[in-house]
Amino acid sequence: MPAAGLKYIGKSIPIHDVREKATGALRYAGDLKLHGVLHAKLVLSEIAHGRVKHLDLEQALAVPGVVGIYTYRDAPDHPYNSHQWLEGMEVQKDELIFTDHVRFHGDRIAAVVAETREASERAARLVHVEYDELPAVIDPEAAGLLNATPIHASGNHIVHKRIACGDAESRMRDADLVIEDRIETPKVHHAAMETHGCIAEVDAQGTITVRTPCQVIFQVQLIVSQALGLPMDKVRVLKTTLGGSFGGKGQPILEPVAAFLALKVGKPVRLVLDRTETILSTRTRTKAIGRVRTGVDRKGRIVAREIHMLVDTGAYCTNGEVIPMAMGKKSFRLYQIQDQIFEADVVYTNTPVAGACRGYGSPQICAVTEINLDHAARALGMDPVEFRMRNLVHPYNADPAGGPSIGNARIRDCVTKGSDLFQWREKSARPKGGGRIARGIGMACCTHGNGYYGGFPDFITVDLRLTPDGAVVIKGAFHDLGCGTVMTMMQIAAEVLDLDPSSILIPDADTLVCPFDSAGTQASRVTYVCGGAVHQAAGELKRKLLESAATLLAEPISGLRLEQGYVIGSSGRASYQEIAQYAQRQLRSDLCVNLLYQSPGNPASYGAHFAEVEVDRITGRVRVLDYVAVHDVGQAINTGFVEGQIQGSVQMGLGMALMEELTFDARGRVTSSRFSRYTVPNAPEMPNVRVALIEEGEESGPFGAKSIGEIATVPVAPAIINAINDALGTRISVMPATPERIVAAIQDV
Amino acid sequence: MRLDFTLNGAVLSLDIDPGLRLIDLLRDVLDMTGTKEGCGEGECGACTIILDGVAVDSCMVMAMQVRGREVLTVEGLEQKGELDELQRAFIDSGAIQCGYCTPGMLMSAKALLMRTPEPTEHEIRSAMAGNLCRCTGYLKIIQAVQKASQMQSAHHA
Amino acid sequence: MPELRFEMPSNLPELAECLAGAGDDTRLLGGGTDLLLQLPALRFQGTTLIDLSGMRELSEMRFEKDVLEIGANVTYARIAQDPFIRSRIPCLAAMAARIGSPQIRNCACLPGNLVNASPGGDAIGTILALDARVRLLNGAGAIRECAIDELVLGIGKTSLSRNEAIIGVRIPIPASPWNAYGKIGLTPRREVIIANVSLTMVFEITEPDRRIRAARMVLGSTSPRAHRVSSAEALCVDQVPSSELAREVAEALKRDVAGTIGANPAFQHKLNDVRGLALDLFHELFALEL
Repeated sequence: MPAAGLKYIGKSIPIHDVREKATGALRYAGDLKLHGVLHAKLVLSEIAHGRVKHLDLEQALAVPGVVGIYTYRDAPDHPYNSHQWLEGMEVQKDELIFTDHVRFHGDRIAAVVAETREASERAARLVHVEYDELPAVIDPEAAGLLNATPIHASGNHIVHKRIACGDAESRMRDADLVIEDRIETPKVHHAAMETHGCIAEVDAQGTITVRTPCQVIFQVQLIVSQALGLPMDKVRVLKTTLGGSFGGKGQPILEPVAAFLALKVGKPVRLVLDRTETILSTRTRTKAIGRVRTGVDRKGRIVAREIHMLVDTGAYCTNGEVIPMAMGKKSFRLYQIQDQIFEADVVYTNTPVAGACRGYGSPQICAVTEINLDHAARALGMDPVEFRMRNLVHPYNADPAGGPSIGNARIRDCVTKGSDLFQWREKSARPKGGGRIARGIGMACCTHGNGYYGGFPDFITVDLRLTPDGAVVIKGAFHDLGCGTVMTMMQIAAEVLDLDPSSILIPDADTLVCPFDSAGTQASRVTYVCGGAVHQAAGELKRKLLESAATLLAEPISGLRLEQGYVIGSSGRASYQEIAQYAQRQLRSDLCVNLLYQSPGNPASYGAHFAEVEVDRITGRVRVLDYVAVHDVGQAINTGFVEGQIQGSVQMGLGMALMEELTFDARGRVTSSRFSRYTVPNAPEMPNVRVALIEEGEESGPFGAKSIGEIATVPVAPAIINAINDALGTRISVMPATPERIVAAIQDV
Repeated sequence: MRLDFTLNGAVLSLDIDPGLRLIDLLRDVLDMTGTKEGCGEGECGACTIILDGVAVDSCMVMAMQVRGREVLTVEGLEQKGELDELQRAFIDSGAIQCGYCTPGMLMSAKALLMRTPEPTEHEIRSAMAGNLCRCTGYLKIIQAVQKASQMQSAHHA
Repeated sequence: MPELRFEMPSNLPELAECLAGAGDDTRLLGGGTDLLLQLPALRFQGTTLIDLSGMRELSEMRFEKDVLEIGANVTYARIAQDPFIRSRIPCLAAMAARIGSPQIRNCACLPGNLVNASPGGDAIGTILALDARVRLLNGAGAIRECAIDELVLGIGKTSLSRNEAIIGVRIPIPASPWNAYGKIGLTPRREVIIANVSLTMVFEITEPDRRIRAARMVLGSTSPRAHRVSSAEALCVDQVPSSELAREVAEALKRDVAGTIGANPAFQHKLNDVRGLALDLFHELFALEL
């Protein structure tokens, strides 16, 4: 349903490329057929930590069709950090295209390039690698102790971070109760259905073009240029259709490799990973171990809190220095806690590399704190909803840690509405079931940001143009990950310009064509920041349109209005087409706008999730029976997309809560590197998810909109864990709550 | 080796490498890339096609095994420029986000409706259990299959 | 460079001919859902695949008066959907309905599971519980029959010679339909799972006193090969199904699993699963409150 007084905002319009997706006609990177393309296959480390002692390529080179094999001996020695998205950002540059010091099962040693996919696969199997194996650090709690075998020369401890407000230490002494927990969240595979892949080619001028499903074209350009030691203008990046990302395709991983290989062979090179390679050698959700102490008084007020997060970034740093801050900031913006300390330590381990993953640390910190709060409510003998209502923030409360304004924060509305929809009161009065099957309910609250404002430069430049045939073309670095980004922008422009979205074209992001964007599809910034840019630019375009129309119709602007592709005056009307043509012919002008838009703020988004579960006390198997998710989105631009984001998030969070985890053998080799061993929730596993939205508007967002795509994943796991703990009276503290862990927790009660 | 089979209604006679899987034949030889590969081990269902009326993973079938048989892929759903009811229902229900699982989902759903025109929600969930989606949480996909079933019943009534 | 070879017999004499020429690098291709996982290596080694899928005569299910013969090409989907099997041998239908995914069940057939001889091969346990026999053809064109525990010897080990192929499975039809199958996954998901424990129970029950005359109980995924649990079977003889009996059987099965898995921490959860599964099956068969 469109929002009141609005034509397109709020309407559920299918994603822009839906027809091509439904017919199978749309080509993803792995579907592209470039003339003369060669196929690359990576040689990945089979051990978690060691030195390559000897590389025997003889048999592999003899495979017919092999064009070349390139190793750490051939690759340039320009360290980079794939998480860096802006020139000049301070980062730990510890990555290389290939390495002989392999730091995790899946680290890149070499690549085979061949005329056919089969030849590349055959040859890669025939590359014989001899290792000097080193002790592997798998447990992040042991990482600091094992500096005797450092993963990187700088040691295994990367950084310590701290955010604080008030005087938590002394206030903690005044607390009536202090509730302590140690809570662990897993290393999770993003599991986008499209595996990672890209294609690179070099033209006669030496310009490398990389076609890749990515989240930030300018970041790919930057990293490829750094890794190869080339000027940025020698690298062009074209975004291909993304078959899902969830942060997994945020950092350029394969792009520098493919570009390097293309330079070497002088032909287009296609590098597409299979599922196992994607699980091992791309990125994972950051594993975290949280220790939290919450002091409460008898009235159920939180008086102080101390949080420590141990962050396991895996074998390379990537965003390891940033993600703890992203975690920490959230803990000051959900509850009114004036005295709080957040600290984090980040370590390397010999495990697959962590990076951005939907929520960027928020699901981890939320799991730690929200499970702990349920323990606190239980200790106080207070209903978890009631306990939270005594502590949640109100709109426009100040962030005590000095962060940007939280804005029109409607978490209380979310909790109230969600409790009603879920029938929390009725369900909590029900017996838990004393037999084999126990029932329980749980909930969790969450907050997330809207971009980088307050942390990193957050701006975007967009070009809008009304063409002489009456269409609008929007050029900007938009990357639709499948969430509907492009249609969202179209709906915003359509509303401002009163034009059907089908008359608006947004070409795929291309570094050569698109004006600059500072940060890409990251940080939940797209609707709020990029949408804000389109909103403002469309307003500018409207002004120009009206100015030209006023001349054409010989009427004052004040008497003109837009309607369905026409400017209507008191005496007559003109179509956008006529006006654009008139402007070109008579006014020697083009109806175009180039706008630099700087993010005006970073209000917080909020949500509350409610879960009902059934647990088998004998086998520890869980079934999620009912689920309600309520989100404060300011204003939904496309209600169907918002629901889709929330339902998909519940699937992902349910996986993190109950089943998804990279597991390792004693030597640190990944034992869950296939979908038969790494199971994600399938259709029979999904509860029905009832969604409700709070749409009270955020002044600084386009039509009042704020973010949804990441935040919806944030509270899922703790809501489910809290429900399990409610059913069983347990204190489950390690995710995923596998059947083994649940039965062990029952035995601990 | 000589391979004769029917693909989306057309009779094909090809000379192929017998080492190919059906998915390799479709994607690499015939350039029909609507069928996707997501895992290569029959777990994700992105490569689902319909073989003699039932849904199978095309990564789990050798190309030579379809000799004399009928293969239907996502490219064959559209008839004379008209989308299949399932395709329309997927579009209208918001069942498509990134779209990578969509061809496989459509083919599993098609095979279900061919056998069971009015499936229960439970039957839909079971029939789609071998198709993974990371975007939608399946719920709008399930709704789409229900909607297509209703459209078909209305059509035939 | 070795290339894969593909042979396509269309009847038993042609299959025998292929088998007569089979070498160490020859593999039989049935439904393909196990074999194709090894395809890159098979192509690399220049393997010869003997594809059974064109053999019409192996696609039949034949019901003789007290034996059901299932041809080597009959898919799990057909077994799961067959009305006779569902009513008379529900354990077989239930097992077939839970192999892999719907797509896998539309391809995969019984012999693949048997020759793979994986501890997690769901069909092996049910076939053993039903006391079925396997029909084998050799390169000379001779057919022999053997029991499943003569065929499956251990993890990945069978008594099948390289010149033999499974052409069918003969299942004695139980006198009464008191049998059930269940499995619980290695991972927490409910459907499309590898078994952590699978259990088949086949009871012979006399009416009207509803007394158990004989029981066969087979556990899968808890030992190198599926095995009968005589201690649990013995508990049932001459008993009327009851909640108490169910609990005793569950404990007996659990003790058996404890004995086979030893102290390996990775396997300890099988103890919980087997107990839950045993109670589930008793509940399903006899509608007992458990």
